[in-house]
Amino acid sequence: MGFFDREQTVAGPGFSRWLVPPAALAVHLSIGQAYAFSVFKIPLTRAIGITKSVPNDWTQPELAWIFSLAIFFLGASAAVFGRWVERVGPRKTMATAALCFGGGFILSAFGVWWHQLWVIYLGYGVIGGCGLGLGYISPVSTLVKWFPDRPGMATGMAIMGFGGGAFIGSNLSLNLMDYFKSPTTTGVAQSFVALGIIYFCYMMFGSLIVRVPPEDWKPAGYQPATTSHGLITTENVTVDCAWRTPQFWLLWIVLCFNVTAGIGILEQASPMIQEMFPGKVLAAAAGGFVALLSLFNMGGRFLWSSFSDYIGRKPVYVIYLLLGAILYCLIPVAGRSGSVIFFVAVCAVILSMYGGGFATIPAYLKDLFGAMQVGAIHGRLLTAWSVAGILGPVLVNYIREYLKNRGVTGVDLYAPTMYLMAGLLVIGLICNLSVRPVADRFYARNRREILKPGASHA
Amino acid sequence: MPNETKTTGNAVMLMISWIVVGVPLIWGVYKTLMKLPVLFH
Repeated sequence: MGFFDREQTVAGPGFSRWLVPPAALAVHLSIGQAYAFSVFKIPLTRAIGITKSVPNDWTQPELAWIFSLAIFFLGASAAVFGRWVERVGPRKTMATAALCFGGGFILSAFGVWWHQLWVIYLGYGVIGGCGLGLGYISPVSTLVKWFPDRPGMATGMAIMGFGGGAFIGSNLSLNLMDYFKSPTTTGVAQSFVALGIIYFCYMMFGSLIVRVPPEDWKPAGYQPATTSHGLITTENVTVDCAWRTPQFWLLWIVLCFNVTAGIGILEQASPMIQEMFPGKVLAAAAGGFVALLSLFNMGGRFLWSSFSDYIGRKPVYVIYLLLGAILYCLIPVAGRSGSVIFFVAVCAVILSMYGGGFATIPAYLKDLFGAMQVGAIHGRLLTAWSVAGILGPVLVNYIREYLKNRGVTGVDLYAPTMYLMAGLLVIGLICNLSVRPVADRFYARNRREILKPGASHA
Repeated sequence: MPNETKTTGNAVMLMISWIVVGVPLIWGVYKTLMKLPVLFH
């Protein structure tokens, strides 16, 4: 039995469950760097020319594929390796994620030195992307089991780390590039090596301190429900059964459309505020607007998800989707009113609910399908994120370009997109309202048999 | 295994762990907050 095996991570008497959120945060704060990858874009377009792009340098569209590949492999690896994650436990998964994410950076550094873009695609995009997916789902089921009394708060805290990781990643990367740059290098390759080592160590710290609770552990004073009530079940559904239920696909649509709509704002935040308030908001102020949205995105993950522990998962999604739809319709109104504060406030609330949607979904899945394989089920649901990651920017950019080519300007350039996003949220709202308890026939009957590798779960 | 009703834990390890994750997060948020004043200028 090795150090990284699940059996070695079972907590002993006296272990504080409050050590588990820092373990989860260490991983999520690291992989959240993915949101800050854009800080490398301009320096990478000058890898040869150093001070300016020269003909053999990479172009921005070529470089955009690095992030797209990483997000695609995040969703794909979370979906494919979810069952493995549940079987081997959080320590081995976090260590594997650390190897993939840190190793991806190191390999990408060689790609920069050799000026071979495919090496960066493979390093950060494919291998790093798998690290993102494994890291993202690794603590979910462990947190839910340690915090059965407050699953929304626990998973919200971890997933908040993914938002916060962008702040650390962008500032750290800029500082490192400043430190390493010289007349002969942009400092990107050296920064990749440093980041690979730093993030590997940081994620390994999480891997070392994480523990799973002993079988049938429960927090002091917590009395688990003995019978299912409402959407909260006391039974368990395996990952292979879960994705055959209508509830899984209803939540898939909810997450997909909530993320698509949020990306609609994030993707265009900077040009949108400048074009809606010409002369009033300049590029520097638009940068501040993007930073503010990121803060609300992060804060919303923890606050909304914690709030869902009190009012329930379905009602909190009604708020995200209904209030979200109303606020999207208010964005053109805010633009026409000329009030920057009103516009910023509307967008900030929308982004808090975008983050909240991400953070609350694991607890919603736990309510519906039980805690047993919630990490793996969550992994499969993250394919909705991959789809939204393509759908959102494509919708937003095509509509904007189409209108721009027809001479439309200002608020009218964005109004149709906002109404479309509101429409998507209304569809999501209908799906959320349609969620009912999972039918009895999907419940697992024998937990020990299910956790065996290769066991049949039909 | 019988249910545990208390989890006291190692207070020092707990403190170190929260500092390790808290300090970088606070630093990142602080650096980001510094970009905000220009929005409301």
